[in-house]
Amino acid sequence: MTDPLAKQFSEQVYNHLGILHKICRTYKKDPDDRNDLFQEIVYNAWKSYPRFEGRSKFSTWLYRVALNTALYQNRKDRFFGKTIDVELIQHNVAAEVKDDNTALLWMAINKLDELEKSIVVLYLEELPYKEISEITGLTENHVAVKLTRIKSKMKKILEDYGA
Amino acid sequence: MELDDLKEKWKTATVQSSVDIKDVLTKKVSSIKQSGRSIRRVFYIEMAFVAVAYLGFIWLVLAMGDSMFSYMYKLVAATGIATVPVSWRMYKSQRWINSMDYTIDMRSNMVAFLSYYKTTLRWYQWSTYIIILVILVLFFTDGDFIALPYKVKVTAVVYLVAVFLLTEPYIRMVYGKRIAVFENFLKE
Repeated sequence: MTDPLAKQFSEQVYNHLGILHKICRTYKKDPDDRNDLFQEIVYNAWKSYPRFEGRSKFSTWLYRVALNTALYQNRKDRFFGKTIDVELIQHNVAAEVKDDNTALLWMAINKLDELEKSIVVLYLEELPYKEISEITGLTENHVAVKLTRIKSKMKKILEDYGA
Repeated sequence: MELDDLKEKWKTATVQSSVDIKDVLTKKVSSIKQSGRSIRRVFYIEMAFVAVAYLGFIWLVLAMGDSMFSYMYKLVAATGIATVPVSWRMYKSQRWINSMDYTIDMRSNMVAFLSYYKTTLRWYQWSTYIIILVILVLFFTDGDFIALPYKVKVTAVVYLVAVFLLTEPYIRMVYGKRIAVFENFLKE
């Protein structure tokens, strides 16, 4: 018999599967690594779920878990010298994504550092600055400044790709 | 083209996974028992390498018997002892990452992580310095080593001095970038 808490948790996570997959896609290029990261996120969220008191929205809470996990799981890979081949990333993106502009977006995101990626993901999800601030721990002004810089960096990257 | 022009593309982008079905997800959650598998696996592999290296040395001792130089024993003993605190710290670091509170904001985790990470790197750096100094002292107080040809002694010293000098830049090159990214993120 399924644990009611597990069922409740799964339903809530299920409603946010799209963004979780996008976060995994943002931080991991290899499908197996993405699957590992997804499981790690779900594990970390499930482990902490009994302490979730609903003071923030479930989505805000889940974003925090997902991005923190992505940052530190990524760290483990780099710490032990795992590297990603850029051509392989581009090939995978092109193979996975039919639309040119979507492929371009993923490739441009791949050029950002891991912390810039987290802000871009939240921005693209159209979260208000207040919520981005709750997730990142930065002030709203700081988030705005960072976003301005990231946008101009993205513009440059997109130009380099000929867009 | 700018980031805002691609917002719609982000919304419509779909990324497939094998756990998209709700029941599968529920089963997966119910069966989750442990995590940190990959990092533990790497740690065990590293420890296995160390164990194999030491077993190799024991085999060498058994095979060579009395013809083994005394400074070889000292070298292996010194490096073995010096490896213990660093391995312990790395093991603790992995446990620390696994026990992090992933539900708090990224900044708080980052501040704690930076402090821990920098301390670990200091351990790494200073233990390397100490082991090199200890090896030099052991070598030059060892009759077998002193009796070696001049060229061999100079080569050994040059190697150790090079490692001594390159440790700090090496750490900065390999780990410094990540620290800089984190610090830059935290900077107001």
